[in-house]
Order: sequence, then C-alpha cells, then structure tokens
Amino acid sequence: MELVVTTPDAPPLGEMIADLVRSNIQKEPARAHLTRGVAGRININATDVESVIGMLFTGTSVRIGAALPAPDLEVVCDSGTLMELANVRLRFGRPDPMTPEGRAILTKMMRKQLVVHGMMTHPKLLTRLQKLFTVA
Amino acid sequence: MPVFPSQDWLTEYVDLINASKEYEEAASSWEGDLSYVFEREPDKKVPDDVWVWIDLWHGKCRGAKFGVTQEEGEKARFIIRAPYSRWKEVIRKELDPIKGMMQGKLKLKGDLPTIVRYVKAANELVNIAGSVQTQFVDES
Repeated sequence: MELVVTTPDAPPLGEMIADLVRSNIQKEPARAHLTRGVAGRININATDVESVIGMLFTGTSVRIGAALPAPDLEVVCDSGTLMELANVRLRFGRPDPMTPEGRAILTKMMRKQLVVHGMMTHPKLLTRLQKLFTVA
Repeated sequence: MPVFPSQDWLTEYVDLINASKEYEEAASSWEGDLSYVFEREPDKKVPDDVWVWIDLWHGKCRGAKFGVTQEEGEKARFIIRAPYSRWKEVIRKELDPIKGMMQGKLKLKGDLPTIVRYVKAANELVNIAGSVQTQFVDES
C-alpha cells in the first residue's frame, strides 16, 4: 500500500509536496512510520501562489489533494516561507532556535508571516508534518 | 546582444555564472548537471523544443551544451522544463521559479529535496539569467 497518495484533484503544489514527502521517506525509510497511526486533516495555504492543499492522515497513509473542510491544522504563509520551513533543522519536532534558520521561522511566526492554526490543540500532528516535510 | 535561446546566450550565461560570488557561495557543495528545456512555441519562433545542458559543480559551471538531443539531455540529474514564453517570464524576473514550480508553470524532474535544499542557488541561477542582456527570439 502506498504511504503517500496524490488524489486526482491535487493542485501542482500538492503534487510537489507529495513528491517531497515521498523522496524524504525513500531516503530515510524510518520516516515512514510518521504517515501511520494518526488521523487528522491539514491544509497548507501558500498565499502568494493562491494555492491551498489538503493532507489527510487516514491512519494508514497520507492523501494529498485539494483543500479539506474543517482542518485540524492550517499552515498559512508565502511560498518562500514554505521553502524555509522545509529547510529548517528540527529540535524536538520544532524549528531549532539554536540555528539561524530556526530563529528566522520563529520570528516569522511572531510577526504572523507564518500562521499555524491549531498548533496548540494538535501538536503531534504538527510534529509529524514537520518531520515529513523537512529536508534539513 | 545575444538572442534567447542560442549558443551565444548560453555562453554569456555561463560566463556570468562563473563570475558570480553569490552563486558560488550558495552552491558551494552542489554537484550535478541540469538540463533546461525551452518547449516549442512555433508562433513565437521556437519551432522545436530546445535542450540545454549545464554541468554545475561546487559553485561553478564546468561545461554547457546548447541544442543537445533529448536523449542526451534526459541523462541530466535534473530537468526543468517549460514553454518558451514561461522562460521569458523567468528571465525577465516576472515569474519566480519556485513559485512557478508550485503553480505547475515549470516542471521539475529530479530529486526535489535537493532542489529545496539549494533553493538559494536556484534563485541565483535565475538572477544571473535575468542579468544577461537578452534579445528574445520572438522579438528580434
């Protein structure tokens, strides 16, 4: 069974994120478990490309496609910040404040250039997303 | 002024890559070749796909070939393709290449995490392309 599935309605950004997650799992198979054992809905809204994608954690796989209704988590930022998020080193599943990249992300969160709705209520889902997403 | 796309344009582009400190720094550990595909638009004087191959190594361009065959170009580690007029937008800095990929306007074949890791280098390559004094073939 495929761990990361792209649905037919996935916009190009969704295909790109699916490709990134698949490649990360391929390079580091230990990350595969991050796609399993949790259910939740995440939307990623890249504001400057006017694209919103949905990631549905079904418990056995991640389905990436069009925006989902009532997401548990919603990440809102521009495309550049999305790239920075993918490049940030993690510490305990969060951007590492000991690195310049981590501090840059945290600064953007304080300035609301990066907004994560639901991060307090769904911390585990956010951790999984970040671990699947990062290339650092 | 070199016409885009042409061998003269590529030569100028490679010279500017090799003169760029910003690119050298951003791509200091990059190893890998890349093909650009300028897809045909017959009504814009690009009757066939144009394949360009560049060999990038530790912040420098070691070699480049204009008009390689598809078979040769497809051997590159990365392939970025788009219609000619999209490339025009990129060179004119009207389209950010990463945004273009997110919007599906530019297609990437190759290891995406590597491109993401070297996003600054990718942007520098585009900045350099934008700094080539360019005459576009459909405007000449």
